[in-house]
Amino acid sequence: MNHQLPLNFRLGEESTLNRFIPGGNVELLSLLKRRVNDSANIHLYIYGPSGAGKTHLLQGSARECKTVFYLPLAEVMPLKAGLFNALEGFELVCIDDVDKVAGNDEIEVELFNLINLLRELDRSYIFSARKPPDQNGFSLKDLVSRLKACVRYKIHEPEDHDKRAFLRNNADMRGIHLPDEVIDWIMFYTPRDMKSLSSLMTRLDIESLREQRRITIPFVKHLLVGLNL
Amino acid sequence: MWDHCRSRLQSELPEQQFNTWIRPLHAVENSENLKLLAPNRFVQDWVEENFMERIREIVLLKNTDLTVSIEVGSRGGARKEQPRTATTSRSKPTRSNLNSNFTFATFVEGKSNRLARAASLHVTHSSGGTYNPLFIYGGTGLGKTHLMQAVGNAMLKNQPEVKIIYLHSERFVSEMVSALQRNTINNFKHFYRNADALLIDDIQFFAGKERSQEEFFHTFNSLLESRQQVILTCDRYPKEVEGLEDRLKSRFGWGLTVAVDPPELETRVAILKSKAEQAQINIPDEVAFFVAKQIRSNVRELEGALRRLIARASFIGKAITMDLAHEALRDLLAMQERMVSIENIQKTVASYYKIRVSELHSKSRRRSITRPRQMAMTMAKELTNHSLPEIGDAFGGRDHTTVLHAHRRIGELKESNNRIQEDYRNLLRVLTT
Repeated sequence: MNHQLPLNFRLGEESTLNRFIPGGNVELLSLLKRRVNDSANIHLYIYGPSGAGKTHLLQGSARECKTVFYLPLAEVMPLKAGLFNALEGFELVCIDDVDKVAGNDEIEVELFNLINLLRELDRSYIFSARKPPDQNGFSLKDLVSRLKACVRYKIHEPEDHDKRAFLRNNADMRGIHLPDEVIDWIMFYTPRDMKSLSSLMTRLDIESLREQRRITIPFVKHLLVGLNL
Repeated sequence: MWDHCRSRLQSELPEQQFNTWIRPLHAVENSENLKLLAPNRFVQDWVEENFMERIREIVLLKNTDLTVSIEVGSRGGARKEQPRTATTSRSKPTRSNLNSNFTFATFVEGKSNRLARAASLHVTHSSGGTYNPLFIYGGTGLGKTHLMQAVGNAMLKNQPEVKIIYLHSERFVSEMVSALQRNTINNFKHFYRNADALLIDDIQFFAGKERSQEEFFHTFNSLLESRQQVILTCDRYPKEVEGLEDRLKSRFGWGLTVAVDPPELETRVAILKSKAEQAQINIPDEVAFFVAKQIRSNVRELEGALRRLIARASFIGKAITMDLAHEALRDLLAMQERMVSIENIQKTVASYYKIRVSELHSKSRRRSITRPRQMAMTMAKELTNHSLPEIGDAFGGRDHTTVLHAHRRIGELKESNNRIQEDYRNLLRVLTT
């Protein structure tokens, strides 16, 4: 069978604020958008379970800002001293999974110093973590108290109807047709966290183009067998 | 060339990797070199290890023979990672790095901080006098930094030419290490020993760092000898800081040591009102009381809650009301309630007094048991929303009047007995932070 080679660009995958399905996070999203529009100073701490959209929001905020440093701590484990050095030069610092610092005394102090400097220089920062500041196991109380001074938002996981809307919008953006019965099937049989749904859409996009097939329930099943889901 | 590399990398790399490692890089290019500038050593190493090979390939594919390199720096020239000031000596008075918002006018006075405020104010009028050093200690987020900087700001206002250095003790340590590495320790010494006032925050971070303590000891002596003001803050009483040399602990006590305690309800309300006023937002009294009753631990958390209220009010375009406060702080308050339960209070109090929880429930009327029981009841009344009968029930089925009596008794003892006052403060601190 002849397969078409898909082009290596990923339409619809960029985590922009406009592409975030707000669900129960309308206020948080509006705060972030307002920051982008009027460059207002912001000290924000977003917490909630994995897959709820924290990374999307941090990346979305980061991409709208000229001098920004976005650091996903989970991706750079084990953490090394000096990680936060000289970041105060950025207008906005976004640190994803800030709870990864917990238990590493040296890095906790470095993060504490960074926050002090950012505050001193009137910079913006956005942190994300799975839990509220005092439940992450930080040993440095001074760090916890500085995180508590942030505007804190618990991120609410999107409801099923939000996820359906996400699948529909994402398909529209990619220019693919995703019938309602396929959406129903996906929502019933596959993991429904946003990360999984998002990567499934990417796979569907690439594979349907490669195999020149419409997206149907049998096609999705065929794809998922390959994905071991 | 770098623009070309960037766009190639953007199409090749996952968005997260591109945003983290490629976006923050700056480039300096000429006909022979493409020099990339990373914000710090960590980013430099990461890019070197993971992306430089590909970047060089992209450059080669463009048929250029540019030499590609990466170092720490920014467009204005190579940047030193260590922040600011002390590594080079400055003889002229410079603008201080004090936060101009931290003044006495914006500091809300209450019973918990009255002495510390009065002492600080005194120092502004007679710098380098009797209260030297001024040592302010207390839990995190209670206003120590604010007071210390208020002194600095007031001194600057009176005499704009004075050289006031404010810094966190960690920065003192890192600048000293950097000065040692660069062989500029004399500049470092000169810089700090020539301050008119040296304000060092959180000196508990000196613990265990012997070389820094030694350097600080000499700086400290030099400043005191020439009657220049030193103000220090710490999260505890100097003698309680483990890993701090005895000679430092003793010298810290030469001037005046004052405590800042967690603010009482009325002060918390006043703080909220003052911060709201600064933000030009009206917060009704009932809302301020509501928030202040829920958040006791420190001022920073109050600030966080207020900012959340303001964000909510601005989002829905309405004034702050009780309904809005309930809604905006729902998550925060639910968490607070979960954390301070009667059970948790009983465990904490029992462990503090080294007795068993069952003894708090027992009928025992021994002083060694009744006092902790009264203390636990007081905490339960003040820190939870349980009714008095519920609290009585949780202490072995006692009557609500017993709880009321316990609360009154501890209130009286707090005023007359230092030990009880200390116990009360310690327990409050443990249970609310």
